Amino acid sequence: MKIINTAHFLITIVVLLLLGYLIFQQKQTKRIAVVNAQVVLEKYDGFKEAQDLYETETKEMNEIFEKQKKLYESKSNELKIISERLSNNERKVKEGELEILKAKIVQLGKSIEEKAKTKEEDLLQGVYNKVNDFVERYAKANDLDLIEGTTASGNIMYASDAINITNDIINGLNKEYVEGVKE
Amino acid sequence: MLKGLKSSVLLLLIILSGCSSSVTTEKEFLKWLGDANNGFVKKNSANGFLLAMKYLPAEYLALNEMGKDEKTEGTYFEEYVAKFKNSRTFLLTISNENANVDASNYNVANLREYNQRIKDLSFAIKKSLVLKTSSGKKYEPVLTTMENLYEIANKKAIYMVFTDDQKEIVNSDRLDIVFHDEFLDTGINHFVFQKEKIDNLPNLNFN
Repeated sequence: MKIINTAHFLITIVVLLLLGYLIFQQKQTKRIAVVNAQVVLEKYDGFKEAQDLYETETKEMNEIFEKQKKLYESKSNELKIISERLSNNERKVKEGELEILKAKIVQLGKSIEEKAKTKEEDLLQGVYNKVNDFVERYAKANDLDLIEGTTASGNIMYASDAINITNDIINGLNKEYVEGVKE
Repeated sequence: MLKGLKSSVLLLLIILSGCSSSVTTEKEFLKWLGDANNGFVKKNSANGFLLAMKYLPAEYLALNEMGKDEKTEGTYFEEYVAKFKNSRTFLLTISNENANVDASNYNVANLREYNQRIKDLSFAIKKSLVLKTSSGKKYEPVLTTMENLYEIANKKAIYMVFTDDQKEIVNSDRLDIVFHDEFLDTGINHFVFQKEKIDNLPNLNFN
């Protein structure tokens, strides 16, 4: 009877130690997932909308530029036609006006370029901030310690499908884009 | 007999579940409006900011206005509600997870920029907000105003009112409020409300 009790005691100790070891191992193991950042961006509705908005706004700016460019070209052609009928002085005045117009158009072009660049940066920043915010909440909700972003030129050469959460991220982001953040 | 009793209980439960809920105090009403399950609040977050858009029904605005006008008799209620029935009013609350950051000081370097931000949040924000109806029509708010009451809690609250003569806004099944954020780097934010939800208030039985 005493032998049986001792055996029970030893078995219980071994089981407890084993359980403790497993729990320790579980805690030590870092949970990692990978996301294809490029695919997320391509399929994220927020990115698509930002892209559309950028294109609409730059199109409007380009139309203004093209109008001014056409005005310059038409004035330049007009001067070529009437040039022979003008006196030297008159021609110089017209050429001066044309130069001023040209400089203004060049300035407008630069300003449009800068505005477009700023707009693009602002829109992208908003998209990145939204994606980062979602990924952080996703990691916390799913008890992940690390989420790696893969890109075509990145360092991750292979990741198994089991830890690839790209589709989950895309679906979650797009759902949240319409329905908002759930508490 | 037991079978009959069971059927009666079941019938009673069905009847009770069919009845719309009822609130008896203003406090309860506000709590009900704040419950995300009732569809009156939609949230977005990015860059440390939390943006919460709340639909304020005509009944809520009427109670508020009655309080200001010191008219407590229930007979005035319908009269006040009618004033707000042809428009949709929303409240956008902006807060940040960092207690030292709020919409008025984010990315602001000096007092001049701070004053500009306050003006932007009060007036220029009108151009960054648009309401899209089910048919795709877009409307800018007819009024936006910032309520700067939450300085300590680093919150900013912006009221906005949308209305149109054709009543497209009040009749639309879906209201998508789009905030093209140009101040806080939170990007494009959608707050989508369903008419069937926001027009389904509980019974208000205030004494």
